[in-house]
Amino acid sequence: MNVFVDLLNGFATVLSPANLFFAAVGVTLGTLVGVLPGIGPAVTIALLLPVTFNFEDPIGAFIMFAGIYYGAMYGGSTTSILLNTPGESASVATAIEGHEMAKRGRARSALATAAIGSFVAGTISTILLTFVAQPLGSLAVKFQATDYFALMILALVTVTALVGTSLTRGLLSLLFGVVIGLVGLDTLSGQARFTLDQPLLFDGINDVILIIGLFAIGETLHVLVKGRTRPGQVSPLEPPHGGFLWLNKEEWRRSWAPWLRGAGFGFPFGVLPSGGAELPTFLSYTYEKRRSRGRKEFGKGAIEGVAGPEAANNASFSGVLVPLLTLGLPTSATAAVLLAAFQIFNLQPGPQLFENSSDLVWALIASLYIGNLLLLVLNLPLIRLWVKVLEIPRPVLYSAILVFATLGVYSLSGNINDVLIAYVIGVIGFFMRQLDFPIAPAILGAILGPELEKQLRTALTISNGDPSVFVTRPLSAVILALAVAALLLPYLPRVIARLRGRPATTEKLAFADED
Amino acid sequence: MSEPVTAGPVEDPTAQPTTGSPHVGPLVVGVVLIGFGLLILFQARAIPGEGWSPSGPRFLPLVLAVAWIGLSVVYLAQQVTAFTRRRPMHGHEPGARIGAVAVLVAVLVVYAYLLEPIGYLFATALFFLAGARVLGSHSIRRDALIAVLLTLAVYFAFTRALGIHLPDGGMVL
Repeated sequence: MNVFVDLLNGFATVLSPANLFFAAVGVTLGTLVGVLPGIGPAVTIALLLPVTFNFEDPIGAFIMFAGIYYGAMYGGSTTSILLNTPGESASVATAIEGHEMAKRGRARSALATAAIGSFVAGTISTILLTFVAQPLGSLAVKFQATDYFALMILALVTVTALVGTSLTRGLLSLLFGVVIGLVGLDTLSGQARFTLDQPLLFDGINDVILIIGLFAIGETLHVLVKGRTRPGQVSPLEPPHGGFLWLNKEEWRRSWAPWLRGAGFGFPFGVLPSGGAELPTFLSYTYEKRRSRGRKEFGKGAIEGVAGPEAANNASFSGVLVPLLTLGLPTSATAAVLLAAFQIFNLQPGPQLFENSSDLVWALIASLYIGNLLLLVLNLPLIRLWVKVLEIPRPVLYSAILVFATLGVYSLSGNINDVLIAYVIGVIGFFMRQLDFPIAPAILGAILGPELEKQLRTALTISNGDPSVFVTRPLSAVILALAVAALLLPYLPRVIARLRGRPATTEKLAFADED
Repeated sequence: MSEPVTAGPVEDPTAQPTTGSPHVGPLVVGVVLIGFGLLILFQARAIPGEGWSPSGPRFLPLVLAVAWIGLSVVYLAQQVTAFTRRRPMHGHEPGARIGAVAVLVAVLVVYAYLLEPIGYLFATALFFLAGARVLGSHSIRRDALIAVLLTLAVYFAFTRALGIHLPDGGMVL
């Protein structure tokens, strides 16, 4: 019963006028930035992080982040449906079916099934999060350094193995992140590492600088080369065609099951370290394409192809929060940005968070419910405004992104050198995109690398330098074995094809990078 | 970044990403990656301390450097194979607009250096104009109007509503 009391307390916090205002501002800002092609939730939160630097109370900031996240996700699906250029990779499926629906004059239905599906699945998965997080948190208290080390290896390896088309490039991206994470003075020995003898690097490279550089600046430069600064063809929004919430009876009938299945795919895959929303949206799309009632319409604008993936997309976020809040383990780029946000407020997610900052955790969980609801209330009626945003000339929008990126980094420290470092990282991020290196592993590597090293050293100090502790403790050994399996998993289809004597058609199972 | 995300109109996500034609770019990148590996190897060796104990500060940097060099060699080998077989590999040739990227980066650097001496307001308005131009805008009057409005709006939002200091360059509004 404790959960209900805690959750009610969370709602009591969130439902204050100031916090509701933050939630509404978050949803609006998130949608506004999220509708930009190529700009997904992780970048949106990173760009808007500075807005909260002077917040005295972290609760308001996190309520706003929850709103920004949901807004950015929904903004991405609006762009996919009306413009066919997905804001983030988890919206790729929506771009196919949703845009086809828009071309057939059913844009409102596609937008509505995406919004309502996100709401339904988001609410279901937040309910699951409510009940799963605390028990898992108390279980996690028993975890030792070796277990944490193994878990981090698992998170890094699975994300690297699943994202992108080449394991070599994924691992290089990961190692690049870890190198960046280690730049600065070593916390234990005080030795300078990877600083090139430059005192300005002694404090290390802030995660926010890395995220803004790789994502926001890198993406803008990439957009410039791809010539995507020219305005796209926005599908016209047809006049309202009746039905309840823009969906007619038939569309409701075809949408509800994919929403529920989407939630079923989204939450568990979010909890597992599988890199966030890409895998569950892909699975949902594939399932609906093969099994659903409207499968014959796929490719020509099947509503199931929007309803399922959008639901899975949203549900996975609450799933991703489970390892983040209970173990301090980010398993997607967005979660990594949220972890950076926690660190700005000197909060460390993990088993102790529920003990030490239970007000904040429950307010955050309550704000997920509110954010979801606000999204539905604000976004469908405001659709004409978002269409207008899509019509703003791209050069203006991307220049604004660069201004925000620069100011965001500058306001971190008030130091121009940090801004220049962010630009250098932005250029690296540009080349990574040009050459198909995934970005998410670099971010996760930078954030988890130092933590991984800390757990490694703690474990070895406790064991008097005996490295066998990682395999003699059963839990750690099992997690490490899973990590090895995760490395091989993407090659499974090829191996099976070989065993059956067929030529391998695919190089490697691959999922698009977040953002 | 796989192709389905970065391409304009997208295809079926179950399809494999499309490929480009073989080009020299990735070969150069392979060599640069190996060079970076050597740099971090030297940096790892330069960390003061005795030995390479796993609980010391030098262990992980060494592991990183060795793994990096190994992976870079594999990457270069893959690219060389692809190049010699003229088989299309992933990755895009930077193309003609790479010059525009260089100009945009230069404009950004100038912006960063101007921010403190001439203040946020002038620097941002100027950057906005130049940035929009490089990004392909041809409507200077419209951009100038937006530059002024956006710069002022952000200035008041940051300094008044959010309490974040922005360099004023000696001019206080």
